Formats: sequence, C-alpha cells, structure tokens
Amino acid sequence: MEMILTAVASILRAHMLSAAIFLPAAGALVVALLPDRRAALVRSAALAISLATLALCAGIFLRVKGSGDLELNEAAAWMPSLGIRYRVAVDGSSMLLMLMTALLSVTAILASWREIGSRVKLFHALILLLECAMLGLFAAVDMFLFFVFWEAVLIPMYFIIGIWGSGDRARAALKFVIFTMSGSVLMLLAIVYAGGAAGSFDLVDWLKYRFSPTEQRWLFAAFALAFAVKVPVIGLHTWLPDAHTEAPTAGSVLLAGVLLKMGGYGFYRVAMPLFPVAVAQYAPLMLTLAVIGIIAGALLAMVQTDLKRLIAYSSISHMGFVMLGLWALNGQAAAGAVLMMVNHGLVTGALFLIVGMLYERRHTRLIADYGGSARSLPLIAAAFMFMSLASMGLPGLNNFASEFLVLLGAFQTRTAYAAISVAGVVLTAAYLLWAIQRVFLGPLKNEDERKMPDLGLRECASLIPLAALVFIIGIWPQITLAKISRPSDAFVALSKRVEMFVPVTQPPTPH
Amino acid sequence: MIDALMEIDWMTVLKSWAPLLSLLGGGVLALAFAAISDGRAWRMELAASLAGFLAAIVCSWQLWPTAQGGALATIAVDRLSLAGVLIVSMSAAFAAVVSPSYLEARGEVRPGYYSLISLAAFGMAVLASAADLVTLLVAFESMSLAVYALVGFMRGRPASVEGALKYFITGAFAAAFLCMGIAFIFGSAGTTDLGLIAVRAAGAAADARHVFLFGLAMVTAGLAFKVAAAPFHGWAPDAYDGAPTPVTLLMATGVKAAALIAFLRIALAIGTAGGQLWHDLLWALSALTILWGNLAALKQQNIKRMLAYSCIAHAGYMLMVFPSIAAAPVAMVRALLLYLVAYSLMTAGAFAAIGAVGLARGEPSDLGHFAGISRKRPWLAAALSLFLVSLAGFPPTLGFFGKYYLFLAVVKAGDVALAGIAVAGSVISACYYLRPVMAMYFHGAKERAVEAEPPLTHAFYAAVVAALAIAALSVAIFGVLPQDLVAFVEASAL
Repeated sequence: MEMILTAVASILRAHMLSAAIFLPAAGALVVALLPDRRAALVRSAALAISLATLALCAGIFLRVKGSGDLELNEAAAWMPSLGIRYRVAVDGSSMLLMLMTALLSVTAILASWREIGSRVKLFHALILLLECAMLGLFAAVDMFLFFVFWEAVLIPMYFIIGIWGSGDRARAALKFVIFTMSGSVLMLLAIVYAGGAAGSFDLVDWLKYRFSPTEQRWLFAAFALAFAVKVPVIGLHTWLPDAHTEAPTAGSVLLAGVLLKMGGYGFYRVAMPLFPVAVAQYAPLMLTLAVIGIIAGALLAMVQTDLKRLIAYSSISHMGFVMLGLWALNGQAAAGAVLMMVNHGLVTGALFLIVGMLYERRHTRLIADYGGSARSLPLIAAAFMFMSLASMGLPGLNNFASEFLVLLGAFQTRTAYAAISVAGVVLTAAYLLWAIQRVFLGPLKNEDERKMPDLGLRECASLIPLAALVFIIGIWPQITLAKISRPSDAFVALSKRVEMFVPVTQPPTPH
Repeated sequence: MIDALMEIDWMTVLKSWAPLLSLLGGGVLALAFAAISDGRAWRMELAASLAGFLAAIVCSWQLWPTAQGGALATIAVDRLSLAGVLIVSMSAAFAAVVSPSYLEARGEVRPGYYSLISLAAFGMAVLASAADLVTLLVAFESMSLAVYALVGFMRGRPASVEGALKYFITGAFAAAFLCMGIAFIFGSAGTTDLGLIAVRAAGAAADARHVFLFGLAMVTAGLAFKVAAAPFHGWAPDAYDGAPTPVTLLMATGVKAAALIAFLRIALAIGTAGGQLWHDLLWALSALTILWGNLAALKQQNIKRMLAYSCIAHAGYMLMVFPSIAAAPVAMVRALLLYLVAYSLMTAGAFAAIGAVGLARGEPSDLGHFAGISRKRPWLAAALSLFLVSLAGFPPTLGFFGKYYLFLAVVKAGDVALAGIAVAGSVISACYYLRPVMAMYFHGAKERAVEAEPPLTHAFYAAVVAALAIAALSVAIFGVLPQDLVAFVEASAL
C-alpha cells in the first residue's frame, strides 16, 4: 500500500502540471457518469474536483521559482513523425494565470449553484472541460498542443452561452465562435507554415529559428489577429459585449476572467517573443489601438444601460492597459501587464458575480430599474463598491499596483501613449462611480427589494477569496511580482532582439 | 492466346485480387438470394453482402503489409489500392449495417438493395485500383449504374425518383466525357496504360499535345462529376436529398473516395506532363469547389442538402493536393489518404445519425425536426454534434487533424494561397455546421414531440448504435492519438 502511494506520489511530482491540467477533464468524465437527477451530487462533485485542481495549482505555484526560464518541463512523444510532442512547462507568469483560472473555475461553479437548474450534469461537465483547456493553454509549449487547447476552449463555451444564456443566446454563441475562429484559422496556417519551416513545433525551437523579416511580418500578422480578437483589441471587440452579456454568470466570469487573458498571454508567450522584427514595425499600430481601446472602451461603458454590458465594455478598456504594458517593451510595464491580467480576472470576475446575484433577485440587469439598492441589499452594495474601487485602481487594492507599473514602465519608453492612457484611469472612475450612484445610492426604487435576502453563505464563499486576494495583492504585490518580474524581463529581452534578424552592415574586415 | 493464359500464375492473380473477388462474390451471392421470392430472403442477401465486405476488409488488411506494388492485368495491386479497397469496403459495410433499421421503418424492405450495394462497392474497389483508363471506365460505369438504382430505391417517394433521374442523366454525361477524354488521350499518347501515358505523351508531336491536354481535361471533368466538384456538382444536393440516407452515406464516402483515388492515380501518372495549364485548372477547380460548397451550404434549411454541399466543400479540400502533386507526390498522397479516412468516418457517422432521427417518419431532414433532440435522445445528439464539430475542423477531433495534416502538406509544397482559401472556407463552414447543433441543444422541441429512442433490444437499431459508436470513437480517439493512422497512410504511399 505504502509502495503504491509513494509510486503515485513520485509520478505526480514528475507530472504535476499534467495532473493539474487533466484533473478537471477526468472530473468531467466522472460527473458525466453521475445520475442526472442528483443535481446536488453533481454540483458537489464538480466543486470538489475544481477545489482539488485549485489546491494542486497553488502547490505548483509555490514550487515555481520565477527564474525567467521555463520550469517544470514535461515532454512525451505524441506524433514523432510530424515533430509534434506533448510538451508543457510554465514560467511564473503562466503559472499565476493558471492559478487564477483554477480559482475562477471554483467561483464559476459556486455562482451556478442556483442559477443553473436544467441539464446540471452537462453544464458542470462542460465547465470542467473548459477548465482543462484553459489550464492546458497556459502551460502548452508545443504549438500544435497550444492550438488544440486554444480551439478546445471554444466548444464548451459555445454550449454554455447557447444553452444556459439569456436573450439572443444562440446568436451570441455563434458570433463568439465565428469571431474567434476567423482569427484562429489564420493562426493555424501560421503554425503550419512555421512548423514546416523550423522542422519542429516546439516554441523553444522556434525562438532559436531565424525567421526572415518577411516571414516575421506575415506570421506575426496571423498570430496577432487570432490573439487580438480574443483580447479584444478595439475594432475586433464586437463579439464581446454580446457574449458576456448573454452568457450565464459562470460563463461571463470565465469569459472575462480567463478567455480574454488567452489573447494577452498569446502576445506575451508567442507572437511578440517570436517575431521581434515585426514587433518593432507593428508597435505604433498596436500601441495606438491599445490607447484607443482604453479610452473608447471606457466611453462606451459609460453610455451602457445594462449593468452587465457596462462591465463587459470596461474589460475592453482594461485589456487596453494590458496591451499597452506589453507593447511598451519595458520590464516594469510587462510585469504590470501580466499582473493586470490576473487582477482584471479577479475584479471583473467578482463584478460579474455580483451582477449575477442582483439578477437572480431582481431578474433585470437594466441600470434604470435599480436605485437605492444599498438600503435593501447593503452587503451586495458593499461588495460591488469594493470591487469597483479596486477596478478604478484605488491605492492599496490590487489593480493599483498593476496600473501603476504599466504606466510607470510605459512612461519611460512610450511617453505619449502613456500620457493619453492616464485619461482612461479617470474615465474608469467616472463610469463606475456613476453606475454605483444610479444602482445603489439615492432613494429605494423597488420596495420588493427589502424582502429579498442579502448575501448568503454560498455567495460569500464565492466572493471572499476574490476580495481577500484583491487586498493581499494590493498591499503586498511582491507576492506575485517575485514570480513574474524575471519572466517579464525575459519576455522584453526576447521581443527586442531585432539585431539578431536584421544584420547590421559592417565594413568587411581584412583577413 | 492459350499460351498467354497458360503463362499466367493463377494463384498469384487469385491472391492479389482476393479483396475485389470477395466483393464481387458477395454481390453475386446476394443477387442470388435477392431472386428468391420469399419475404425474408433479404436477410440472407444482407448476410451475403456483409460477408463479402468482411472478406474484402480482411483480405486487404492481410495483403497490405506485403503488397509489392505494380499492376496485374490493368489492376494495380499496391498499398494505395488496398487502402482504397479498405475505405470503400468499410464505407459500404457501414451503409449496409445502418440500412435495415432505416428501410424497415419506412416500409421499403425489398430485395435487391444489398446486392446493389455490393456491386457498387465492387465497382468502387476496381475504380480505386484501375491502372488502365479502359478498366477505369468500366469500373466507373459499373459503380454508377448500381448507385443510380439505389438512389431511386424508395419508389414511393417522389424526391427519390427525381434524384435518381437527375443523377442518372448527369452521370451519363459524365461517363460520356470520361469516355471521350480517354479516346483523346489514346489518340495522342497511343496507350491507355497509366504507367506509360506520361512517357508517350512527352514523346508525342507538338500538335498531339493539345489533343492530350483536351483529353485530360475531359477525363478530369468526368471524374469531377462523380466527386461532385464545382461546377460539376449540380446533381449532388438533389440526389443526396432524394436517396435513402444510407445510400447518401455511400455516395458521400465510398463513391467519392473511389473517384478521388482513381483521379489521384491519373494525376500521379501524368506528373508534370500536364504542364502549367493543367496545374492552374486543378487549382481553380479546388478553390472554386471549396468556396462554392461552403457558401451554398449556408443557405440550406434541409440538413441532407446542407451536408451535400458540405461534402462538395470537403471534395474541394481534398482536391487541394492535386495542383502540387507533381512537386511532392508522396506527401500529397499521404495527405489525401488521411483526409479521406477522416472525412469518410465523420461523414458516414453524420449521415447514419441523421438516418436514425425520426425512424418512423418519412424523411425528417428539415432542420426544424432536430429541435430539442438533445433532451430525448442525448447520445444521438451528442454523436451527431461530434461529427459536425469534427467536420467543421475543431480540435481535438479527427476532422481537425485531417485538416492540419492536409494544410501542412499543401503549405510545405508552397501553395499558401490555396491553403488560405481552404482556411477561409472552414470558417464559413463553422456557421452552418453549428446550426443543427444549435437546433438540437439550444431550441426546445416545438409542436412536434421528438420521437423516443427505439429500444436497444431491437437488433437493427442496435446495429445502428454500434456503427455510430464505432465512428464516434474513431473520430474522437484518432483525433487525440493519430499516430497509428499517420503510420498507416505513410506506409500506404511509398
């Protein structure tokens, strides 16, 4: 018995990442085999699996040194004749994103406890499959594997929006798939091309391969389009408000919390380090789009009448900061961008959660239908305000640290863009405070609200971890920065190595 | 003459042709059973037919590892032809297995059906192995005649008869084109032997070159009819919709596979002798087929018609290998074979699942019939969704890997533009493949209640379930672990 346990433990130690990635998938299988009628059992099982995954991810996070190299490498033969391997590894940044994914998956399952009443089994199986694909994406180093995980995210989310969504859910679901797919098929073409050229699909091999400047331009364009749809960069964002708004709460939390980060992570891990020549050429365009995204996203958020749509548009603005941080090509800004992805996931996930709670009680999301809710639902109001303050970047809360780092870094290398972006910080405060004022302050509009229950135990359980992290990262950002600053420096160094590809013309030296 | 016959090593012939002879034997035996005027004789017919398919599959599987290559009396006996025989026999067996439940529910159980499937499969197998243009023509006709009759098998259903008529008339044209093309090629190259054509054509006079190219174009047109490549696809939606669904399955998989492999053999034999003009023609044929198939599928409300256009689009993807075949023959043959296997599995699965929906009703192929099926028949809905998602090319399914492997080969051969068109096509295709999925999962059943699952104790329905399970598992498992399949196609194209 003891021998078996030690054997299992040693296998687990060697394949920690794979265990964390595929535990949810195995859990999905278990959930699928449970009887459909025992909804409570299905929910508990899914929760237990996601909690176990979270614990595993937390354990791995503590083991990651944040050295700037890929750690915890695992590789296995998959399709040797095609040069495709199963290869996963993480650096501090990707592990932090995985940890956030695992946490938000738990949150999503808790959020669905009462909201999802039909086809409970299917729902939880899909959430767990989605979790597997999301975790796998952040750990994939082989680009074929990366693409498989990238696309595998689509189908569960498609069903989650389409079956349990609200309003015009079928259209929103289809729009989500078609937009993402239009970008990702180009990425597939780029992967196929680069793999054929480099003779391998390993990202590390690609980083060493010398793509010609022309190849870099085209390959970068293909990758960037796929990632930009997901981020979303302004102009390619139109799928986002529909998908976020019509999705059930769990779907919105994971969409905003994790799926958008897949785009940012794609730039961080793949598109920018691989093609420095293209990065140098595209930087003005991407930075401009980032700044437009920051400002326009905030302005669009301001005019929304639907609370969920407002938060959806705020994501466009915040992801603009992430892009600004990455494209500033400065270690501080890049670390800030990575941290911002995590912070945005926590804060926006929580905001969607709270809107879901309000919707569960009032069955409306229109801002005009609310008013003075702080009188009837004080805890919900407090939670919303707390998360909004975090989102605005109040010092002492998590988003301040990341926004500050992004702007600090960007001011050093891209002063003009950073200066304009500061306006985004002000606008964020404006639309969030205005929303708080209309929804929670003033005289109570709907007397029925007095009879409605405030935060319940389960709801607290889903919010408290997020709130605690908002605090902890706000006061002590070093806990995360220790793991992401060296990987971010490595990212900047890789993305800036233009000289490696464009030969500097030197006078011929005499022999 | 007698001496020539004496010199032939009959045992070698028998052994090399065993897969083809099994199919023919199964067909003839089935025909004999069909002639018995007993209401239950069709079961014997089915058994004979299935025995033929099984024997063909086993024989080709046994012969495959030691296949030497070359041709025996105008029939190629290499691994490519054995792989082709495997694909068409499996597709015919699949069609036969799902047929009884379908025909019984519609009261169309009549003798002759399974013997026709067997004879069609024999034609396909010979077509996939033809090493001479005349053999190719004969096989083409014998396959087609059997399939025409099958399309019109549901005499009570006007669409079936209409489909058969349209298919027959356009098919007759196709055969005429093919025949004329062969005549022109013979006129210019002086041979119909695929092994000699390229050399002879290269040595022919300059005037004869135009004749040769014209003949090649005619042959291409004839085969493009059977493959349903645009602009020769007009018959496909009507014939696919009118035919009994298992026959549609056979047409979409077996017929297409056989015609594509025959075309592949011609293209390999021609090599560069076709010149730039032929290359451009093939390129345009592929691009047009991809775009036309995908765009036209968007408008369809009837799932069988939609899949008909989808099959046209997939024919376009497979035609992508032909423009580059002279540059990288081995890689292209491999890519086509792998895609054929993937395509046949998912298309056969999709049509089998559609045939299993609403067993007692006429022909429930309108998309509205699929609304809310996921609640009453969750496994059927899940299987059909898997096949559609795989056809759309989402990982981790075999459909994705097939596309990946195909695009990799085409891009490596330098044809990024054509791959780009195919990629655009697959985005469009996601729009229509997801529509039945939406209907099944996102919409509730409207006025008409979804028919409940027939009991598994019903032997014919159990066969359908088994066939669907095999196809679904193959699509899922080969999608994640395609290495064995890759090894098979790599060894099939040496």
